[in-house]
Amino acid sequence: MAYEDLKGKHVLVTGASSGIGRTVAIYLSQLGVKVTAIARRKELLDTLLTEMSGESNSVYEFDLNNLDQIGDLIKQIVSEQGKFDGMMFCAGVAKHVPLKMTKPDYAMEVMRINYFAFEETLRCISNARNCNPGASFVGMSSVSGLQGDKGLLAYSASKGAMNSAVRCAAVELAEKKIRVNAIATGYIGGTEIFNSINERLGSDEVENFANSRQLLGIGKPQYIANAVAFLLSDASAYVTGSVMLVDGGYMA
Amino acid sequence: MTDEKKIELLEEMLELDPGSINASMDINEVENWDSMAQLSLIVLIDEECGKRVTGDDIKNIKTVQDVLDLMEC
Repeated sequence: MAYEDLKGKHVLVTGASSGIGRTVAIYLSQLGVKVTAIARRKELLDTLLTEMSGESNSVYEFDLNNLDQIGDLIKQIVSEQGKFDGMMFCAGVAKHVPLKMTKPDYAMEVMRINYFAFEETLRCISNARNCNPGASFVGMSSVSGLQGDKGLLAYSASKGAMNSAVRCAAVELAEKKIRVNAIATGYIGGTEIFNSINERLGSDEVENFANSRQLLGIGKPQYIANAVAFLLSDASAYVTGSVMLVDGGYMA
Repeated sequence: MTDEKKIELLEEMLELDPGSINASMDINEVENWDSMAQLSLIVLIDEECGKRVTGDDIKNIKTVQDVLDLMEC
């Protein structure tokens, strides 16, 4: 099996109850990873637990908007499940909101979960008390963090912030043998983010747009899961501080 | 919300001077009514009424009155 080294590794997956996070959690468990999944919705987490392979996985109901409680959560998980070897941060929100309607409350809401929650989780999990040397942390980013588009100002800013944070963290954490990367994707079908954007723009609009912009069409969550496995495993031992495009050619 | 208030919000959203639009106007006569304005309207209705309007609802708009009806909380 590919990624033999991932077997028995302990990986945190946030935003795991749906969309990309859910697919990532299930796929990692199939590769032998001990997955700890966190998300807001208990019932979806319980279902996820039954869908993951292996007996060592666990789920924690938690809202990452509670920034000041993330540290305690990580501490609790480590005491109950052991130190981490990796993280895939998938929690996030996206809506199409034009600049003129991007008021502070909305901008804060987006930055809070998409960026500040990522930064705080990374800060806490990268503490030597909470992770093993050789750990690899990955943030779910977007082509929006690299390129502008109408109606995506707050979202783009949050992903641009994540991309910058990943580079700085990679530099700071290299001496601790910790790698930090991001995956920048485009439109991935079937996700809540995709569906909510679709609803707002009207049926077919997003699909037509994505199909015209993404050379390989609308993506599937599994494409991201494949890249996550690579970035968490030793196969990517020489990769850090990168924002890896897995975007179906969006940025080409 | 009164129609006057709704029109006031619309004019502000569309960056038009007060008195620029009225209920009987065809939506295509309204200046600045483009895709970003349509998205802005969705956000405006969400903010003002907590009501979820879809892109498909917006496509059905023919007159300013239709917009006012959508803005009914």
